[in-house]
Amino acid sequence: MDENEARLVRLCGWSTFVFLALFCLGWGVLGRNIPPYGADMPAADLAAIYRQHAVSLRVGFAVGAASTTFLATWAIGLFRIMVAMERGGSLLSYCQLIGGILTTMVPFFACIFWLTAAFRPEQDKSIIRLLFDMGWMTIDIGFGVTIVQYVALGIVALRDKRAKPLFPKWLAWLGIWIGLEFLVELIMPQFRSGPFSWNGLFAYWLPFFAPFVWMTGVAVFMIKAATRLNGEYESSPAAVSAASAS
Amino acid sequence: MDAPIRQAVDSADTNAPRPPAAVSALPGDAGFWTFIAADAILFALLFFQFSLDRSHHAQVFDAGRGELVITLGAVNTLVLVTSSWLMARGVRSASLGDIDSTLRWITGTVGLGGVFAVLKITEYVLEIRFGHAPSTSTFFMYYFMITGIHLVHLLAGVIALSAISLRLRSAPNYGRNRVFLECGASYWHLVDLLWMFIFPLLYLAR
Repeated sequence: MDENEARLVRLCGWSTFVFLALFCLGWGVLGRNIPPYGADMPAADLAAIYRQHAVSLRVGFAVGAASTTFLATWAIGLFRIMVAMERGGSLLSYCQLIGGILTTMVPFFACIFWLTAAFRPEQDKSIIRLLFDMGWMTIDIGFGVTIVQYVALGIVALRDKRAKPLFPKWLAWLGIWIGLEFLVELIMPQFRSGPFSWNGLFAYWLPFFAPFVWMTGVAVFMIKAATRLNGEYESSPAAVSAASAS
Repeated sequence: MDAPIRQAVDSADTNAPRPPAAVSALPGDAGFWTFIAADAILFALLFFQFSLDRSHHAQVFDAGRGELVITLGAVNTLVLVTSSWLMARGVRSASLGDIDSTLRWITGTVGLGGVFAVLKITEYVLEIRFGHAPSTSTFFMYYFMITGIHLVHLLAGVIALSAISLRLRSAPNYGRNRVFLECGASYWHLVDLLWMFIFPLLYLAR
């Protein structure tokens, strides 16, 4: 990849940090989701919180929904690196891209449901709780498509034959594990309290924060990979002949 | 083709044992151990949460444990230990170049994995007939979740070992399959090791 494209891919890598910062600030801090309110909270209590904090919740969920744009640019930048890495076609690169783009819709719609609840907080408390529940169902069960993204990236990274791979193997395996661990979310709807409910260890702390840490690692190696792929291009015969022709 | 290259190609095509190019401290692909470690941490957290809740609801947990069919759990422990031993024998045969024996050992491992799954499902049916479900008590929530997540791991192991077995059948060569075989065996030993914690913790500990 030439210098100009490498710079764009590095920007996509940096956008990961923009997503994480904006999403944690909007969805997490202003949206009051770190730690989240439990599924066993009475509707009246939940409605009271939405009424009291309506302004900050609206700002938070609007920022959280909009931040998913930078989750999309992360997947697009990764796609460009994977196309250069993948051997025998580009199917897995497309799996990662499409899985990643669909994943952006998961926190997006969840934030929109919570935002809608905060939009008219004076309304019936049951409707506020309905929207609140829908937000959690969306963000937890929607992880299915993310499995496709993480596993596809993992396989391509593991099949990289470079002496020093663009992505370390441990990071690839960790991504595959995190992707598969999302399956535990499928039992979340059975519980309103405890470690498997939406604010518990196995449905919240692990499946939300393990990917955040992993994405940081992927972004760091993505930025390095763009520079390395540019170096490989500059020293390739095609680039040398193009330079001598011009 | 010059002689050294021909020699390298020839040795790759035989079943003769040959030393791995670089001797690693870990069997299989070193990166795969991140996967194993992450999985072990997941179960460590499950055991920690279970123990924490048990300390708060000792009576509920004691009553629940009394309702489990210990015999089935004990038989399954024997089944898994034996399967792990068969798997280790399979890896050993492969390293000695005897791929046919390896295929037999893996078939045995997968077969015992199937036996474990059948016994586990029998146990679930019995517990549900006794009137116990994940929603019955905190103990049964953990019982179904921990053993259920373990069962999913075991089934994934059965699928992975079957795939490795097919790979070995189509290319009966140790060098090309060593990493797959060792990763599969390491994973299978993890499934076995986790059960070694689950059985005493759920069925025996007072």
